[in-house]
Amino acid sequence: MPNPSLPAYLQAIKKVFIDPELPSDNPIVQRVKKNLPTATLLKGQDPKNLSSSEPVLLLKKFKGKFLRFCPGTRFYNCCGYKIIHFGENCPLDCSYCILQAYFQDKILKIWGNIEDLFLELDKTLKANPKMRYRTGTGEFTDSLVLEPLTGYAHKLLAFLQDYPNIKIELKSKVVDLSWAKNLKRIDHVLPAWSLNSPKIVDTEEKLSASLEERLKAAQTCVQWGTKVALHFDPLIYYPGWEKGYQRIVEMIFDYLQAKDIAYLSLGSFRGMPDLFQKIAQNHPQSKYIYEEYVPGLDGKLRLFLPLRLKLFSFLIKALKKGGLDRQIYYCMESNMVWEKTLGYTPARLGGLDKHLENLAFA
Amino acid sequence: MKEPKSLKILSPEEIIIDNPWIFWKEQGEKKFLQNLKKMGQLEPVLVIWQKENYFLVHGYKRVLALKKLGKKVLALEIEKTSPKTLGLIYFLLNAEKRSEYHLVKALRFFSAADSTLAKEEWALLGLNPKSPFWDHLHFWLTLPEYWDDLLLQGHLEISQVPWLSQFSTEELEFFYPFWQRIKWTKSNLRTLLTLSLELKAKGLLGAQLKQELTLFLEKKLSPQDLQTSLLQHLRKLRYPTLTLAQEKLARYLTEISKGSGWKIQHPYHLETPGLILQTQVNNAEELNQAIQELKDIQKQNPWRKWEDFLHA
Ligand code: SF4
Repeated sequence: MPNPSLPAYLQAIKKVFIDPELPSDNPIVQRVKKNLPTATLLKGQDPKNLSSSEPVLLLKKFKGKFLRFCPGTRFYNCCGYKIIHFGENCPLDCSYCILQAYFQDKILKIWGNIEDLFLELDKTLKANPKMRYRTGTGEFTDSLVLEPLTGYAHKLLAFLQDYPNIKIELKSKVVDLSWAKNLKRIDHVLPAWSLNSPKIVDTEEKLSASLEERLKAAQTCVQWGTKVALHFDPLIYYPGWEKGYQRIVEMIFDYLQAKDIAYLSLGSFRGMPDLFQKIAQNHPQSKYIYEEYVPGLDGKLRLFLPLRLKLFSFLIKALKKGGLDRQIYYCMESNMVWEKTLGYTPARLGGLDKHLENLAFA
Repeated sequence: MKEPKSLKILSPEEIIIDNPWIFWKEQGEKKFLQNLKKMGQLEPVLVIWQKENYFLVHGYKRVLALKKLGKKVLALEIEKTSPKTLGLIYFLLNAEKRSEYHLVKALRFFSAADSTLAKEEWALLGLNPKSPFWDHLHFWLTLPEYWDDLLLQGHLEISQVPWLSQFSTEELEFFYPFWQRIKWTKSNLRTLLTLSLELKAKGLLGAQLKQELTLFLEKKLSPQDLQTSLLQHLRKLRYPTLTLAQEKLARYLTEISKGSGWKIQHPYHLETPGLILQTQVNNAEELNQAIQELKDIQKQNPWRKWEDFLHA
């Protein structure tokens, strides 16, 4: 029997492929074996040869660089965040997920050689002790969705407790606070949740935790003494969006105060045309892709600017009413959008990456 | 292939030619008739003897032409066999006809009779039952037979099946006259299919829109005008805010450059305030004039009203 406390989407994993280059006493391998005792373990086989799309997990020895720059483009303001790349793909299957167009397969992957990640982080952080690293694990997967299986975040945070110049954002749509267990400090962690309108959560997310659960977890973290980050990405334009986004903003302030929030990002749904095709194929019920999307300067389709401005202005007004101000930032938007909706550009904040770094380390 | 039995000289009337396995019936053109008259019949047609009659297997055009010329037909009788095998023989002997129309006609025959083909037989026809093209052809077979003429005329192609297959039978019937009446350019057809499907996904491909589109057909527009106006109409519905803003902006930019040789364009969907200003000059004098006109445009400041276009 798989660990009954695992969510159903993790219990559904019946096959675990293990890279033969990972030693059998590897802590990630051990932990996964313990939590999925009935799963078939396949050492040295290639999951790409699987004919069906059954959920499988691949524990792999990763040979590339773990610490990377976020792949922003030069036409829009990027937040300068650094990614700790520890795995790929996600079982939550949100309809709008960019990963479905980003990766060629849907195989869940975790880089088992966590000790190599530690070596790389140690080397980088010690080489530049004056530099502050605002990092996160939630770029190519959800930061915590596989945590009950692997305990990866907990191991990473335990390792990084002794490094003063790093902040790790855990960006998630699930609720799992086990990463905090037995840590002597948690101020190097920035727990973060992606939020959306309740309607979008109902229709486009399905497997994620409820908004109440996410906000309650954020509240718990605040009670523990950390700030949290919130992300409205992607903001989705749909008939009745005002009501939905008004509601989630109200919910935020039912659980948190503006001072508890390190920063909050806004990003309207966007993607290369093949993402739209994938959504049409994989999620035929999702109709928001048929709103007015036009190609932006980086080739991605974005909501037509006047509609985007309407969406952003509405959110900003509501968020400011709740007391948020300079914590609000845009993910991949032009100076024009900043200027029109916030009244300033990132340059006024001393550059977006610096500004967010200051907020994260405050 | 069946063993040949014997060569015969038959009168055209003795041969039954309208057989289902002759699925690509074509009349011989004038030149074919002239050649046959001049050179005589150099190759025998193929026939089988069955139920006291000769049935044609291959050589439809020649039998018709020889009949017209009042000549006898040289025929090679082959062993009688199943209609499916006769279809295969016919297909292979006419293999140069491989247009999508011809393939569909052949498949209609093979899927109608007792004719489920084995894998090797499909390979003889050059088809792979695991290919997407195969699936597309089989979707086409679900359409009424008169649709095949759209393939023959080049008004539709099998490669458009992935779009066509997303419409209901009723919707396809609705669009049929639009495709029958004119040959759309490839890119316009692709836009038509995409916009229509997206409007369908938004629940807008209903009775009202169909009625509006039908009016375009009734207007007796030229093929080009029909395509342009229909697509414009669909685009307005699909992108109402965008088209409105673009129209407003285009009017404004035309107004600003009125009376000058300059053309001002904004191809960036308002994502940036970038404008492209273009003109053509042929000599120094025209250049001076263009500079003067440009200064006039500058005085009006094309971005003066930019804010107005950013409101949805
Ligand atoms: S939680 Fe994030 S990574 Fe996972 S499916 Fe949803 S959008 Fe993708």
